[in-house]
Amino acid sequence: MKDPQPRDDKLFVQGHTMCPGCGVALSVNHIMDILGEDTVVLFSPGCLSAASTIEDNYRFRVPSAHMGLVHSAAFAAGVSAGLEQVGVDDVTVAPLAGDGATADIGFQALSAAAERNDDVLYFCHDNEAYANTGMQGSGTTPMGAATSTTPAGRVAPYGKSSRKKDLFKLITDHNVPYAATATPGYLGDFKEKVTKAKETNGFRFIQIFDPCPEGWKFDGSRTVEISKRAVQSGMWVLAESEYGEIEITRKPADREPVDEYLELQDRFNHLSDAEVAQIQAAVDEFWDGYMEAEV
Amino acid sequence: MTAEQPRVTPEPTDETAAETRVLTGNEAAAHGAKLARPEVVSAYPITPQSAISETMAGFVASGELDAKLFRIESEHSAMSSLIGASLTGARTFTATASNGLFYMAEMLHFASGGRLPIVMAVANRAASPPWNVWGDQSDSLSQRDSGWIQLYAENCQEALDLLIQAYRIAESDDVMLPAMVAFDGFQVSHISEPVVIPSQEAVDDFLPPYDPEDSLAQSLVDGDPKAFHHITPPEASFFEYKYRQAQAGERAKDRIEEVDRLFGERFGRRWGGLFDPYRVDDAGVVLVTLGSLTTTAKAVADEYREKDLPVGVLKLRSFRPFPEDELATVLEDVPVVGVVEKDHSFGLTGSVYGDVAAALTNVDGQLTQNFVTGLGGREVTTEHIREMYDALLETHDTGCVDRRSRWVGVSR
Amino acid sequence: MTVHRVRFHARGGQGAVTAAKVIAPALYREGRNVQAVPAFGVERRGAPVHAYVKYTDAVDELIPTRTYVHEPDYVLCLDETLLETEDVTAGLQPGGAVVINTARSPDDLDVDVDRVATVDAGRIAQEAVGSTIVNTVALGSFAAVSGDVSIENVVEAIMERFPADIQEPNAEAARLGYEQTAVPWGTAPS
Repeated sequence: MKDPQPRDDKLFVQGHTMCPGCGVALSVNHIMDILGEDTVVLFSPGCLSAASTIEDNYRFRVPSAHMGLVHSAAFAAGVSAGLEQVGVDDVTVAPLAGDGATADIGFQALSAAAERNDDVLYFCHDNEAYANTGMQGSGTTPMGAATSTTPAGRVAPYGKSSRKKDLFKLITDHNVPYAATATPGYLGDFKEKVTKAKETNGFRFIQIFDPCPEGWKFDGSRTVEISKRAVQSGMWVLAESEYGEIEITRKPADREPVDEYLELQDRFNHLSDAEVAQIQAAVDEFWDGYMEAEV
Repeated sequence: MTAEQPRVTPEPTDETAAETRVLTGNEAAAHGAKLARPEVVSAYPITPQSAISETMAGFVASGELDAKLFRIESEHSAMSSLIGASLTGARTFTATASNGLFYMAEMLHFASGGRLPIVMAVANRAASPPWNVWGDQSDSLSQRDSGWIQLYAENCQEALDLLIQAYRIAESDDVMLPAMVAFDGFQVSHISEPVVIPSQEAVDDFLPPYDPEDSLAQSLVDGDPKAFHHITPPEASFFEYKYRQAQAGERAKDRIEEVDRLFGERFGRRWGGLFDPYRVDDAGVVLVTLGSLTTTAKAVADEYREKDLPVGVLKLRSFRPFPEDELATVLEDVPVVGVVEKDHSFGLTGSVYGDVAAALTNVDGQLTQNFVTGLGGREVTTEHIREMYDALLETHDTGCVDRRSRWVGVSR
Repeated sequence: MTVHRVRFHARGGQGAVTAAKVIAPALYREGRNVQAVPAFGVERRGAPVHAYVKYTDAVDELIPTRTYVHEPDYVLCLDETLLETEDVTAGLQPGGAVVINTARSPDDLDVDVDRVATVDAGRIAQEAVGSTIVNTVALGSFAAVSGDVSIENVVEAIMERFPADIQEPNAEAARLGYEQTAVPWGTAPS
């Protein structure tokens, strides 16, 4: 493999200490290329900020600020309003937040900012747990997954018992100008969506499926494969919505059975056949729901 | 530090082209904030300050105030959104009380650590449960370690004046800390009295626009990407940053004094700076007060002086920064000092008492006593204040404190 | 230092708090210092409500407390059904007066104080404003009974505080209240 040459025009530069194969690092790399210089990036506490925004190892070359955990959408809305008031226009205000910050503790702020249509481009990096603090379960942890707070022990439930919270659908139901799901395994689709979001005004939301080698327990060289497999099995839907109307942007011709996706990651290796069947049924239902919801 | 006593109903001067209206404390605070020209306002309704948000919304809707007003969904988000806005270099305002202040407590530390001169009105309200929406000072006093400047207003006029002053103090280059202006919930927030509203021109002259050297906006305009509040590990500059923040807190004392003086020169009203001593010089007994009880205390002090009882009042205006040295100096010849407050910190004593007693610790032979009163909006009457002065006078006569802390007005 | 004290008794929705807030600027116009204090409660429509006003003789005189009024010089009772459930005369000072919204005469009321004034505020409000809200009528009565504020200043305060479409009717209600309040003990104390 060739060593990538450092480029002077990069806004997210080499030297961060994200895990090898981290889905978030892949995604952010492309996001920053598309967003460009007229951007304010806001960091939520998590792996990205811990590994790339340290005082003497700061990897971002746009104006930026570190936020708290609870309030990404509110903080970003404030930045957006402030810039407008002081007369600085045409800037993308982009909070980069994890799934815990978005689906759980920050949901209040998220929902309200969406309802108000605050002018923010919100990125949710969904690696399906609180990765930075030790892989605790979040609202977007999928059913059956083992995390440090939903371990698979000797007593039921084995792994997380409830379904994954569908953030994309929830935000779509707020009637926002643009919402989408994406994943780095489908880069063309990813880039189109980020570009579209950048060129829209109001509240925009992109939930990115970012595989986590350390947390999901798979080898970091297989991140793109995992990302693709998730889409091919229907565990992750690639879709977008404008003002509540959903369109699926990639329909697998034949959805692969979920066990081919699950068996790639040790966080699922405790599942019995019956449990896998349950997950398959849940995915079938999830997928049917999307086919119906599509306009 | 001694103030010229402001007139009870100050007349506007021609210079300030002001008008006098009968306003509630909430309305006065809203007018004060409006005159400061905040650019982003974000406040969540809560008794007893909801009228502030409503009045601000009215100003924006009528075009009197050019600001972005967030219909924000919680107090935590209110402060969060203002932190974001303040980082861009915009002037900001919010208002809250009690549970709302507690809910944004995390963000109070963020604002002060972030060196963001956000200004907030607090209509002091009790801490529940039992559920109680009435006025006492537990909310802001319990947040004394949050790094915010805390200034306490005695009446509606002072609330308006302090809102304007708070911006000038907070935004001083050598301070850059957030400031809260606190006044009694209901006893000030809901009571109407005559208030002088200065003209916009006079306030513009007194308070220039907020224009910080570093901001997200400036960073964008300069094409110089700056990083704010980034992760700073132990061996990096966190400790030094905090030291500078602490020093700024100390310098705020000078600014509070200076701004009070300059405000007096411009608008004809001085309130005393860090504190306002009343008949303290030759007092044998002084009662330290905070907020609207000061008015009652001064009236009772006058009554006692008529009977040749040497009492005085020290109205504390700045609780943070706490003027320890200054207080020790002004009270050094006073044998007995009492502190009355509407909160309690732990056990039977209050927060203000703790700080005052510590400040006076080096004065030989001085005795101090604490009076906790008025919790949950319980009325504090002239009779209660007399009870406090009588206790202090007895301490003065006997030379010993029979009870360090008394809860005045509570039925046992 | 003289502080004059007024207490309003009413039910929620009858405008007692507004009355206190409107008489305050009227008293200020009269050259007095003033404090209007609503009772801070969680009452809703129909429940008993109180409001208080304190004022001085001159504008630079201090009002030393921010408490409710327990020793009123004037009591204004906007709803006579409250006479059955509340002691509207509690704490009334010597020489003080009670004003009651009623069609009955003072002798027919069970109010045991020297000075009881009456006004049929309900009828006046209906005539002038077309509603049952009697607060502005009561302000006119207060001006008549106390003599401490001119009806002109009351009317000006109403014009300042009320929305444009109901200013005139409420000003008229106050004037009628001023003219039609029966003050049996003669001219009001000054």
